[in-house]
Amino acid sequence: MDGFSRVMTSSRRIFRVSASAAVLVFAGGIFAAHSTGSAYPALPISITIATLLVVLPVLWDDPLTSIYLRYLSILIGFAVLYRLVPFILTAGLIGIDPHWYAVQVEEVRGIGHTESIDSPYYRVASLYIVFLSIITEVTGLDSEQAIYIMAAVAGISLPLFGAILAYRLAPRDHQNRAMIVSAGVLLVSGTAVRYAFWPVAQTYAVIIFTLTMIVIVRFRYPDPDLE
Amino acid sequence: MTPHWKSSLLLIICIVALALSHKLPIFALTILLFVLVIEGSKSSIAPELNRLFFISAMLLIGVWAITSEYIANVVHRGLFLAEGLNIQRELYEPSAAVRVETRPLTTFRRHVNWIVISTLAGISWTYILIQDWRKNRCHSKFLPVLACAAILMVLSAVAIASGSTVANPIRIIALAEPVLVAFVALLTIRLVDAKSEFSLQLLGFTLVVLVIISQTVALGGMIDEPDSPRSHLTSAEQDAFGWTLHYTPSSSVTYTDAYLVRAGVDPNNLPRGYWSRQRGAFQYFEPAVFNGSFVPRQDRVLYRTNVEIYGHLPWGGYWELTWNPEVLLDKCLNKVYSSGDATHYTRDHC
Repeated sequence: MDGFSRVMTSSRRIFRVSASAAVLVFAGGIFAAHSTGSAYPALPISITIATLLVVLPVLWDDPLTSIYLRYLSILIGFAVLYRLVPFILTAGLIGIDPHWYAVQVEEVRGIGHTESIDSPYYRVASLYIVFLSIITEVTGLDSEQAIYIMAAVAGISLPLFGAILAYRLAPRDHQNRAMIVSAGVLLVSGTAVRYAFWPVAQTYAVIIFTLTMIVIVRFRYPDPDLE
Repeated sequence: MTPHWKSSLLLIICIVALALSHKLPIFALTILLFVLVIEGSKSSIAPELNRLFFISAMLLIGVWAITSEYIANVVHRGLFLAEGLNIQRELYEPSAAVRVETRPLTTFRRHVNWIVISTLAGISWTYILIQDWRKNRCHSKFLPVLACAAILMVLSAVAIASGSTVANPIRIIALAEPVLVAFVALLTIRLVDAKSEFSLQLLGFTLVVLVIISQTVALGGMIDEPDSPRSHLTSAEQDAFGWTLHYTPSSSVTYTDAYLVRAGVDPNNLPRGYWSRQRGAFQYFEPAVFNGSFVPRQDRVLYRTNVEIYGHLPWGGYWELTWNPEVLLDKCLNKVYSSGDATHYTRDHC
């Protein structure tokens, strides 16, 4: 077996062990939260351990690019689940604002116009409500379920954005590591998670903001060698 | 169309979309400045001067923007107090409710996520900038993001320092967080670099563990935090709300707490006015309940029996009742429905 194959095998083995352990821990956390009917403390503790189980091996042993994408995939999967589980534990939407948005979405769908929005400001700045209305029309979900989708969208987009940004900023030898650390931290970062299970127009603004930055960096600086 | 024009067009579309997506025009301002810095970094000015000029300009404009918002809010609050002194006195000195005081440790725990990230990001930014400067290379590609992070960090810090009634700090942090995290990642990988000393590598590992734990510590109690109002309805409360909608005459008003008025929206009687006291057939009973009574004209009350802390009020604060309204409700009104977590009363004679 040559050197490359040995490294590959070792990287794969580390990934399998760490990913399996992380999945088991997180699944246990979800199960415990579901059994007790409370997200706290099982969910935060399990996601902390699971994230560390994925991120720390990457810092310890720098594997090859193909393995990194697996790490990134598992982190994004965790991010989506972590943001969606609170919805399973509660009877309806979380927070005070999402209900209002859900009603406005129903109104926009019913009338087919943003004039029905019950807020002078959001009647003009209606992108978030229109976005949710489009989701309901396309998917056939009701307005509350469309808000659940925001949790999934935020779970995918923010860690992915963090990964891309860190990748493009990091020195060439460390791009993959930077990508995983950034995605791992954004998986659990407090504000991003809060605005995912309590989605408001701000959540949508943050997603657009991050996409804008990626577009800018991508278009202005297509060459990734930054150092 | 050249790549330059294509990207410019895309930028304009993004800026317009962003400006329309939320009310804080500061987002649009940030993006515009971001573009300015990119364009500026390509100019013929000496790279060092260029960098200093744009970072300084962005910091100053960031401070100016948040200060303007601060002043506007102070003026607004002053007017509100002047016009509503009676209400204010009633709210600030309720006879049958006490304000839930937040312990310093709880406050720290709630904000530890952004404190850790913004501090480490600031350190990372300075570290990278100094390294860049020493090597004397023109890394203008770093500049836009560095400058953007700078303005966002300033916004976060000033907003937090000036208090949550002035600006919503979490909303600003939500915007800054992804950028700041990228900086933390950059610092970490520099520390754990194989060429680093063992102590620095250990520090890198410790940082990652610290950052990840701090995030979940801050979030940990957000859903079920014991010293905050509950931010979701139980199934039984939703049942009681549905029962009220179904069996209450549309002309009558049902009094309930402020959270239920806003969160339990009646789909057949759509609300008007986000912070208005009444929504559809529901009207909130605070602050009357904070003063040990309900107003006499209330004919219908939907009372949630398992609410320990009241919040989500236009005037803010978390409150705990020092009396049990159920005693008065049982005495004066008829209990017509109970789902376990919520009871519907109608008026009798008291």
